[in-house]
Amino acid sequence: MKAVCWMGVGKMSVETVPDPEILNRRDAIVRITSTCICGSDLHLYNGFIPTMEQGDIMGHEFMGEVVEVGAGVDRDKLKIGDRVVVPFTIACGNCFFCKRELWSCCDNSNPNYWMGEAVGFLAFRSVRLYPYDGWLCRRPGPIRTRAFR
Amino acid sequence: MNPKQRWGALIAGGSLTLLGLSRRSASGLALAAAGGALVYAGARTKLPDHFEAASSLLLNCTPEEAFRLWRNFKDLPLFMYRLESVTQIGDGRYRWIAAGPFGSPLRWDAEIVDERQNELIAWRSLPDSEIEVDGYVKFRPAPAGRGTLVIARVLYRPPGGAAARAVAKMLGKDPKFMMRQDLRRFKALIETGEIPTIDGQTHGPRSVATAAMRLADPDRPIRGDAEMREILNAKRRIA
Repeated sequence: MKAVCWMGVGKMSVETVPDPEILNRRDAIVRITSTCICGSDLHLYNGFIPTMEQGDIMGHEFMGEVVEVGAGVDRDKLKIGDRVVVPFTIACGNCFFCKRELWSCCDNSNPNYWMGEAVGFLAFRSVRLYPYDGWLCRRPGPIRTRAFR
Repeated sequence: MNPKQRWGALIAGGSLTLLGLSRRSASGLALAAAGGALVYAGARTKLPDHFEAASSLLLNCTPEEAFRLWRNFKDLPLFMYRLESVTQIGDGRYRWIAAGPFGSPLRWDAEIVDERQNELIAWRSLPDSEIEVDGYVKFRPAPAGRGTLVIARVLYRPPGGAAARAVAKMLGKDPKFMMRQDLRRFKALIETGEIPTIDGQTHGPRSVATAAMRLADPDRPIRGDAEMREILNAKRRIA
């Protein structure tokens, strides 16, 4: 697939990268139909996120269609073909905070938690979504989407 | 004197001495003397022969669930990424194999010295181990129904010689940080049945520096399907 990659501070390029794969059981892969540039992308672009590495794929607010789900995904909540909108605050759905619907405080979904412990924010990377299958919002309504090629 | 203080003393003392000598005056001489004393204090301090790591974390589960997952020692490598395997070799005795420096395996045998159901596991390494690893883990109900507090403390003592330096280098990654990561993964596993990760995720071309960093940092394994199934089984055993 094609992806916009961060190649260093202030350097972006469109690269052909391997297609994403399911890594965890509750992952889903979403074919993006529309996306946007977020204000926080500027922090990534300008090199203020310490865990960014050259080649990281940008973009964290988007909608699209579910094309693959992991074996552990609850099919009643999410199945192939669903149109979804993806909130940027990923969450695990099972920790103390998620159980109280305080999704943005999730204890588990940030893989760079060691940094979160120090400064308290999240860093996201690509369109493989983890780990909470109930997190993608299904949108059956007439939202018009435009695919970027 | 810990290593930080030691280096602080050496560097500060050295600078003071140079500064004092460059003054070429009585006060400069006094400064240089003070600097020299600091360097002496720093230089004669020995580096520690052991490393200690302690950390604690709040888990959204009962002490019973946490105890059961930890007590099943062969599953420890699921969340302790430096561990390769733990196998039982006798009554309360286990053989631990970890990834040592440059991928060479590091073995030690340990026995359980104290165990209280749902509360505590303490272990001690046996004499002919390549590295001494003593420690305990405690599970304590958190106040106000907030779940369980897991408290772990481990003491590593590498053997003497060149191997020791290599091991010390490996442990130089900050044992406390590594333990913190292990506890975090333990928490994620027990709360969600999986360990959220971006390892193995698709990306664009990496720089040479990044590739070298990844090679030098061996605790980024990519978990395969078989291991994922094991994680889920571990979760099911708890439930």
